[in-house]
Amino acid sequence: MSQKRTMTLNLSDREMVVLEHLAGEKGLSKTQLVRQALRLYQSVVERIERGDKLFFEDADKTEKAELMVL
Amino acid sequence: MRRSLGDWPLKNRHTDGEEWATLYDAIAQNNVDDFETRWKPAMEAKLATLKTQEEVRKANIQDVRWKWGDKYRDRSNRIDFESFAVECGGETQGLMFVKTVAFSKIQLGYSIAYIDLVSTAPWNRWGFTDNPLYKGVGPLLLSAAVELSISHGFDGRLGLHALPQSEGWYQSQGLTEIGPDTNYQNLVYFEFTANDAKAYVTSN
Repeated sequence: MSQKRTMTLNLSDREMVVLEHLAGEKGLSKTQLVRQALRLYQSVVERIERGDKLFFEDADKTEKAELMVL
Repeated sequence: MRRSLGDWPLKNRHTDGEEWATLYDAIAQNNVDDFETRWKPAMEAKLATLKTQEEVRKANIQDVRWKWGDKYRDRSNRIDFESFAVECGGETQGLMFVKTVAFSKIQLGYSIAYIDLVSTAPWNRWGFTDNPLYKGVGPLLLSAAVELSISHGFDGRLGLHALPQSEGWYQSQGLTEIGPDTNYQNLVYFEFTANDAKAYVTSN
């Protein structure tokens, strides 16, 4: 919530399609979506660097798969 | 550098008057100091007088071991957490951490703001005392979390796990009760949908 700074972001066509699709689907502006992706990335990296593992579990909790974050 | 998000009236139950509280967009060292030197000793002194688990439960001090200072230090460079503090009468009256990387259990795939830790000063709580001081700290912090959710593009969507003594309060604020979360100490999980949140900020 501190003062904002501006930067130019260069994206490929495919990346821009994904950004526009996700932003439209989730009701976020493209800026809000990129900022949220950055928060998510920091959140994940912080846990991985602590030695934690990141898993996805399917809805009925029968399968659990580790998400590799390199 | 933290900013004031404005001044809001709290009811002083002792004088039956209103006092202006300042809501800040981050916890600062003075708030952590207030927790360590004012809140915690008051809760520990109360705890020392209690004999049974039932008395402890009723005393409304389940957060006595929360480590606000550690969280304040560990999260100072994190962008996936925001924090808030309420000050009134020269002291910290409320503290809150909100995680901004979380997903709704109602609207799958939609982001929410998740209230990770929230407390009002012990002297404002029923149970801790028969004569609590300020009324309105909880709604002020809940409104701040909704506004944060709106500013992030989450339409006010919000989630939290409630401590047992707080479940009734969250129900009274209009949050949707999802139920006990087996992945989180069986604490009851609540959410504000976008519509719930809109109604809440309008009525507060």
